[in-house]
Amino acid sequence: MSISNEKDLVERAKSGDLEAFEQLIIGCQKKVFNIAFRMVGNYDDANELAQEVFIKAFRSIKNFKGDSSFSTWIYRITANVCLDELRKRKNRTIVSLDQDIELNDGDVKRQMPDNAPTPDMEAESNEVKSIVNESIQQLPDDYKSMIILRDIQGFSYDEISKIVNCPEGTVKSRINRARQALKKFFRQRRNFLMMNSSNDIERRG
Amino acid sequence: MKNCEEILELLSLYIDNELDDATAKAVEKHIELCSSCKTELEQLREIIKMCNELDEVELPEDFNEVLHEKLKLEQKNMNENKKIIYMRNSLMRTVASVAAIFILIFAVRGFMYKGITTKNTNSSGTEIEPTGDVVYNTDIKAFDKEKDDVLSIEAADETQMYTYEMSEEIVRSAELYNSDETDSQNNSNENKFNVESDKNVSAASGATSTADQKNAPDETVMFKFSDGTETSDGTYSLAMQFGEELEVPVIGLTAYSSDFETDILKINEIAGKFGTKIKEDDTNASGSNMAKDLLVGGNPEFTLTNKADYVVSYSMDKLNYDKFIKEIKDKYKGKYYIVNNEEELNKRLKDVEGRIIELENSKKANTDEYKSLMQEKENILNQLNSINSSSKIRVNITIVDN
Repeated sequence: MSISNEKDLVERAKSGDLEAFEQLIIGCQKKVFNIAFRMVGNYDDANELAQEVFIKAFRSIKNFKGDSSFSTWIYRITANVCLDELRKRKNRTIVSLDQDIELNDGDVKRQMPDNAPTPDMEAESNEVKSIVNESIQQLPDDYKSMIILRDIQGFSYDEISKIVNCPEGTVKSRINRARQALKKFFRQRRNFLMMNSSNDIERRG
Repeated sequence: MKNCEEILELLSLYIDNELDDATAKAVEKHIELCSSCKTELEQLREIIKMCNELDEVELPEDFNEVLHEKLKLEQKNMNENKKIIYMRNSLMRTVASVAAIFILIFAVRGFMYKGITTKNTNSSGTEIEPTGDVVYNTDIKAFDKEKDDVLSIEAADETQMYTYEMSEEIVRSAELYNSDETDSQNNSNENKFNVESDKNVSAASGATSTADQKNAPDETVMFKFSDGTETSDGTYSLAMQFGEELEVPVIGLTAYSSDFETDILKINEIAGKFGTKIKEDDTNASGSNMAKDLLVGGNPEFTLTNKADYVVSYSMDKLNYDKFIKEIKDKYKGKYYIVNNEEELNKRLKDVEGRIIELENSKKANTDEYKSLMQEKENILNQLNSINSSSKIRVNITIVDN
């Protein structure tokens, strides 16, 4: 969307033009949904949250000042909505889960950590991918958002700092730590699996 | 020379090409010699690669449809906020519902202001002292534009009279301007405006000044009372309280129909059993051209509905509403979807209040954002209050021709 076109749509949307707003959000809907999906770990919640993001945006577009691009503004709302949701969840009692995950040979019992909700990962049939997913879900919220924004969505450092409203220096160090943490969780899970089953995860390493 | 600890801090930036040449070189040099840092680098690269390769998920099929309906409801709420009459410094007390429709004739563009009851004389010299209070409407312009609600308009000299049809519940302020006296009289026969069932009440009131409420009106105002008496000129500071039914929709039911005509009849039949029809709008029953060209860049993911729709509103009491929904569940086989405005308002209120506190704590209470949030909070509270103070639920039913 060209800048002038976006400006025009923004003006119209500010005065309550629903059509203009809906045009504005076309380009970022999928990303918003995917960010939410990775943040909260399940499809239905992501759906609700994504809807909430756009409704919030519609309500407060009058306050959009144009100092960032429209989509950056939307992604910021997304990050906030998701982080709020994760915070809310922590206040509820979460039971730790024993989840059976079927692998090629035999079943392995997995212990889910207390603070990670069960991800709804039917999309990932690949075991490695599901381990990556679970590891992401295990991360603390602010590391999680870094991984999602940088390594899954591919935003630049500059964009990320605008989305999470943090100085770029903070973003840089956070990304580094987030990746290190993720790597650690991943290796732990993978090693655990390797020790507990005799399937081809071992071969994939 | 950098040590391992420093190098580890830089690895991410190195991978992302965020280092200047000199630093990047230093990292590379270290890596050549240090196998543990090298391993660390490789492992980081590996995990990043796996993240990169995660699949993107698709939006749910009905994502846009559902969103569109919610946005429409939102838009409606935003517009209807303007209709709400704001009370200043007043207590709101809802009159027990009267099964009648009141017709009030307004003079002069319907501006109302809160005034002190003062006596005045009418053309025949009789003292008239109306009771009740006036509401100061800060946004009468919107009120003005609601021509749909206006039954008739007459112009007489410098006054314009609007006749509105009011619905059952009116809100009365119990407080007079600048006075703590509470006047809770309603149905007194001596009053010049009678609030009795099935009677036409015509009371004209009007403030003319758009300025602040302390000023007396500077235009002529006419009053007509139910016993036929009229006032003409005057410095009438009116004390009449009225309220439009705060038509806050509580429930939005959207039904997708594959048999449009039949479903319109069917749903109306069911709704009619449990409530009273308030309004209906079939002006879009043959589809709208609103969203024709929104296939941007040929993106097939996104099309807006330009389907025909039919909208009708019913008023039901809460018990009947539950029965209504049950019957819809049983009898309506198409897809439908309910949005509870009260819930949405409550959610929004929480968000708004949360943000207000945030701003107050960070000493940003004088910003535009703060002011507009406070206004929004007031709006929401007004709407919630009217929902709560009403024993009826207003159900907006939209039937979409699928």
